[in-house]
Amino acid sequence: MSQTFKALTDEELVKCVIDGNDQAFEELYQRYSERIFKLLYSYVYNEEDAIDLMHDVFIRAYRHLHKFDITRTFSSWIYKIAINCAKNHRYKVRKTDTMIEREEQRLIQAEGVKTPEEHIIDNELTQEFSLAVDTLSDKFREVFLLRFGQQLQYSDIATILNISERTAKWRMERAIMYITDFLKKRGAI
Amino acid sequence: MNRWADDKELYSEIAGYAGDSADALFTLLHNWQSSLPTLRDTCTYKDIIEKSRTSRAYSKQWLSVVAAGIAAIVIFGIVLFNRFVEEPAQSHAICKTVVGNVLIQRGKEYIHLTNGMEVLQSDTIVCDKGSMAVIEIGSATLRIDANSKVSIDSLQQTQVLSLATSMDKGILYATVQKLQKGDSVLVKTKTAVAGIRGTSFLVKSDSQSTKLVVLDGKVLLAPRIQDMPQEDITGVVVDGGKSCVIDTRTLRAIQKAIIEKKVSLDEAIQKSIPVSIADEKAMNVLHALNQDVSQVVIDEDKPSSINDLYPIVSITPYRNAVVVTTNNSIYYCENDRIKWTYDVYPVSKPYIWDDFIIFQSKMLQALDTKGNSKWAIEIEGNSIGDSIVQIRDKLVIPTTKGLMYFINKNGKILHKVDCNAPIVSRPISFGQMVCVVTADGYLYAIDIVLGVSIYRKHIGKVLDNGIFASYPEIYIVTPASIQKIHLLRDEIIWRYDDSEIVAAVEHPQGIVFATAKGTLGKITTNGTLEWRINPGKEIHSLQYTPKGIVCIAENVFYQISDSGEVLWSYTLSTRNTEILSVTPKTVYIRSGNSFLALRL
Repeated sequence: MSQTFKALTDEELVKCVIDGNDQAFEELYQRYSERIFKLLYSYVYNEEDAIDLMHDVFIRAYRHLHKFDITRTFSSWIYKIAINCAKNHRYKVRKTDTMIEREEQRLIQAEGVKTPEEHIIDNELTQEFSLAVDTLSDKFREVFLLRFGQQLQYSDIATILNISERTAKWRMERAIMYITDFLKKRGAI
Repeated sequence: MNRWADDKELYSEIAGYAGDSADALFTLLHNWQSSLPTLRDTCTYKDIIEKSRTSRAYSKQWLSVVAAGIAAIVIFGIVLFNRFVEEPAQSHAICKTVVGNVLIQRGKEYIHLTNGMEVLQSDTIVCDKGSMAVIEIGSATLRIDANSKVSIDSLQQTQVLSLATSMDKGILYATVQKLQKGDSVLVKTKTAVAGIRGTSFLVKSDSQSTKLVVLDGKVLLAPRIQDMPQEDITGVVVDGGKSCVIDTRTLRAIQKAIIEKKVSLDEAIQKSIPVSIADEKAMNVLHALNQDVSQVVIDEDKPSSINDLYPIVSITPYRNAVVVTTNNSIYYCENDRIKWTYDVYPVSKPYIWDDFIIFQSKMLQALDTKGNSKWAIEIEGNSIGDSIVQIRDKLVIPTTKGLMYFINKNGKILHKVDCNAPIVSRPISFGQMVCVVTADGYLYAIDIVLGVSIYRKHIGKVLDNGIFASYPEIYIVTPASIQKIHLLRDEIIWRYDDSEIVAAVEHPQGIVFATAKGTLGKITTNGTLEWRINPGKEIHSLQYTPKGIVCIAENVFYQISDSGEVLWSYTLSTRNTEILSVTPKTVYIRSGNSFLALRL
């Protein structure tokens, strides 16, 4: 890939793609695929599903790139698409899946990459934490994942979720309080 | 897109929210982040572009088939529609009576409403002081009273009537004949939505609350919760002879319950919105309106007795009187009769200093006991609840902006001390100092005379109003422990561990505390548990009186002796209750829409 693309901003890359240079899309894909994958994984707890969803996000982004408002940030736009995809997926899954099944899925996933000892020592508390995040209601989980999973600033979170910065901070505060309370009740902290 | 500067930013944020659990939470968060798998994907950007093009081509093909099908159905439908169905028409809304000055806002224009004039969809009817208008829309009659503003959001009538109105403030009386299947009549206010099915009812609303009184039939009253689609929200059914209030406190309680996920949305709504028997005065007005919608004079905003006030937010006893606040006024009552009213939005419970009633609205204000304003000063942030206290010859006001104001009786600011974070505890007197705790878990001791902070220590998350002083010692109550600390020597004298402590109150012989499990216990001054009882879940409003401890558990009020015996209990009609104030002889309780004074 040309080094020149690396020097361009996201929005300049979008312009190149619209002008017919598909290689610019590769740079965008490299910049965001890992981050979007992690965000989606936090919703679905299944690598394959997260990868499929991530592809779906980029397919949608590519198809609708001409509708992207160049005066806004690409990152907010793609995160917004990712969250919508994740929510749609959860909605579909919720119809057939139960919370217990999702929890089993999460445990299977963790066991696959750790030894049993590591799982017991290191992962028990992380699993509790993960469960706490998963039991947050959508509005609070979104803010939490963008802030602590993606390390975004509140101004960006506000743009992505179309809420005020104050609301984002308030939801974050409530999410942390809920997680703390949840973990305390289960003796994890 | 901006990201964090470093972990410090993350840690300080967690510390601000999680208090003493911050370290553990920070570690868990790190572990959780590193437990997320890395992307192992063989797909390249070219595959994505290829898939995108294929799916676009496929969807275009598919769309053209669907479009052709839809077009055929639409054409067929139009033919049938023209043949069998009359064209939909906007329902006629006609003004039947006007008293005083009533305007219609139609687009950018204002028109005087007169008898016989048609009211259209999107019109806003504004009734001035002393005015009233009656509008007939099909089977529905609306009466809009003085100082009201009602918009006709939607007005359609073919086979069915569809009427939606919204009211920012004012009084709306509606009577609707038995509706047909599919008919819909909605009244929307800032805090609630009322869905009506054949009834007569009265809605009174302002920006803070909505009161609904139903004469007969049924009305479904649903709260309006920010960020939540209205169709997801259930409501409470208010039958004839009943009334219901939804105010901003109700909405906050529902939001809190949803966030904490303790109950479902429906349960939270049913629990937080009490439906009670309508008061006689309101029912008399409704009966009269039912007989003659035009002639009755509604006594708008002139409550005469403390029992007419809603929703009561605070009560402050003062000699033989009480100072009552609602969402939009302060009332001074003697022998339950209202002597004077001061219209303001008080955010703090008034504090009475000699003959001055001091409270915060937009400004910090003082009234005399006749309701005359004595002074008003600007302060930064809000002093919420009952956090204003008098210590020696100064009034101490902590604010949500983290500032501590020291003022004298004439309203002069003597000192202003910055504590760097919102103050979450009521100030307590500690020798020559005043102590407070901030939201980020710091204990501050401030010299009263000099107005400077002379001590600061991180003590972690403390319960709201969870510090008590017994110079030179201090009690600190956290959700997991009660500690007695010698502040000057900076040494823990004793520590009592428990779990889920939710409230605590100072007692002459120690500390009485309540837990989320529904237990109430007393710790003596030397740190031993003297007694523990189990009055029931959801203990709140814990307070000390010289005649014992008082609290509410679920919907039962308890008076408990110093030795832990239940002296008496009283079952309240709803769980939506709160002890507003206690005096040595009386406990003032808000129970749903009503208010009780219990003699101890």
